[in-house]
Amino acid sequence: MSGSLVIGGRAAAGARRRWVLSMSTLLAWRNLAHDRSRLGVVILGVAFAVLLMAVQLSLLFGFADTAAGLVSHSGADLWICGRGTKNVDQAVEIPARRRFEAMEIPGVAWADKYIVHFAVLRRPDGGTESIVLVGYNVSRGLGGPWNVVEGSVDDLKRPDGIIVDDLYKEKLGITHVGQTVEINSHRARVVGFTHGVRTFVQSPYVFSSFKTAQVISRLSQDATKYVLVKLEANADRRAVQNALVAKMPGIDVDDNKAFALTTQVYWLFSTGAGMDLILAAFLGVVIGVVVTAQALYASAVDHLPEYATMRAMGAGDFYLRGLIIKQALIVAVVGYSVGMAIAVLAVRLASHGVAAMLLPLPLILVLGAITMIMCALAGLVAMRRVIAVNPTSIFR
Amino acid sequence: MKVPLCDRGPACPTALLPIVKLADVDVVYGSGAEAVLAIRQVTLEVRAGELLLLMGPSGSGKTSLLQVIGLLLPPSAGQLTLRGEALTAFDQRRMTCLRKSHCGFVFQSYNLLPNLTAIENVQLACELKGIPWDDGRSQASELIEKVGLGAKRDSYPGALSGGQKQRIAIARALAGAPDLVLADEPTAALDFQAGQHVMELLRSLANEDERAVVAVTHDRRATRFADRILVLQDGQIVHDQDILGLGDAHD
Repeated sequence: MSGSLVIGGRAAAGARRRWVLSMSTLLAWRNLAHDRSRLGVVILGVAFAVLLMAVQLSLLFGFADTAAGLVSHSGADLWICGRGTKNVDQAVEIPARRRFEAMEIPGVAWADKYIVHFAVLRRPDGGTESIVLVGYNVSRGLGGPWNVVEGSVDDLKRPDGIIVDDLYKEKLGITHVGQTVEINSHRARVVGFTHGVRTFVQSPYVFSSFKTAQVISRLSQDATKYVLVKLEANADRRAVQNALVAKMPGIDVDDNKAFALTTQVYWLFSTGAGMDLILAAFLGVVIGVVVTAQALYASAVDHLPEYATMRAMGAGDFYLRGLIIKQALIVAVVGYSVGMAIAVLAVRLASHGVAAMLLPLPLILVLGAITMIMCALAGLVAMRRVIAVNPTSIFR
Repeated sequence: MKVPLCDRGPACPTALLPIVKLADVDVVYGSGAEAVLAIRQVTLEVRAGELLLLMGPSGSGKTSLLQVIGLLLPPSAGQLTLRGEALTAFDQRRMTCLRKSHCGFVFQSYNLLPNLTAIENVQLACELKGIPWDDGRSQASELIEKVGLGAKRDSYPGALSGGQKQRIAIARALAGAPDLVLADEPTAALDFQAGQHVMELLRSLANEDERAVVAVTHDRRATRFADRILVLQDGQIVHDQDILGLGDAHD
């Protein structure tokens, strides 16, 4: 049984090798390469389609990552928030005692109050910028800044200490550690910089201690925006979550991943930003299909007498379809390589800007598969034309 | 001057086997009031070892008859037998498969693929016949040598003369050793000398075992290479000249 499987596998591998290394592959390439200007146009078309898809989807991935960055980097296991909270940036106040109530639940290692609050920063030049003030327990670190590249997180323990991201220095008019700024008419001192802590809502995150944030945001001593919960190592997350909900009326308890997803879905789809990106990526597919289909069809029409000759010589439907598919795949591979190379470069360049772009390997591979399918679909029209060719048409 | 036929002579049993038989074959183009009867009630046998010429005025049905013999055109009526097997279904897939196994074609305007070299054109035909790459390469090389164009194997068709192109086309038609070679006006686009070479080549192919060559031609000079000449008029065979009496021997 296994022997026959091995033989069958070898036979299939041999068939695949014969399909690739064949005269039809050579002919597919030569027919394409024969008209260099058309080949150039179709490769540029596919490359543009790939670039469009890659850029739009990497923006989507980047936005999703940015939108939920505060949650996914928080280190918390559970988020206690006001009922109906749809994203991390827009929270309602909840009683501060929820922290103590949470700590009474078995399985909770500790719980910390957490503030995410829109505020106004006055630039040194007098202008103002909206920011999102993030206050957390500096000693425990849940929900604190990440990628700190200058200064120290411990300095946030100073009453007026803040950390901002270096990508937003110019926007906020901040130049160096030690600089003082005004937030909601309160003085704050920059004690460090992060790198790459982006914001989806165009208001940069500014980290401070919970107390500093509480003062600046004028939040009551009895209130907080969130309670972040860290579980004991062997705690049953679902059981703790249920116990918290049962104990505290009027609150939601989300685990970290679910809250990150809720935030992403809200910002990307409630605002339409995500659909715009997806539609633009789909437009890339349409452009790719149209450009490739047009080029393959034109090539097929140009070479119809050759296809008729091959038909007379005994070329079956499978062989002729294979020829068109090979042309489509050649265009796909070359166009994809060009488009993806430019996209990777664009993503590299974007890493230094405020627009986050993420192009993970799975997305690169999926885009490759989409490009192959896109070009193969584009070959269908040409295929129909070639299959219908009458071999008697070559007789004069 | 008569060019010799099969080396083993007309009495050779294999030379007498019919490769294709047509019985009362009609070919009709169109339908209803616009129907045109291109071939009517044609009965003939194409035998191994013979070079059969189809002659006649334009519109007499030569090419249609060649297409029926070459399994490119299904008869509208009558019976077509290939190697003793009566063909009843003429779906395209089966016809293509049978052409691949039994037929090689030579066209008036060569129809070489311009983006492939001479040897690649022949190798492509080998591939269509199901011959693996390495074997196809060596067979293509042998066939190119056979038609005397070994030195031009890597030339593209655009760099070949008309006669050379036609010889490459003949080499291509021989890929996979088909038992039928069908040629449509093989000398029409050639000068006298090149035409003679092509006809000599076709003549020598017919001398090989188990193969027949059927050629449509207007060229009267080609008749001296033929074993048999069929003259068509208005879709009917009006003259069947069996020069060496193969048909009589078969009967």
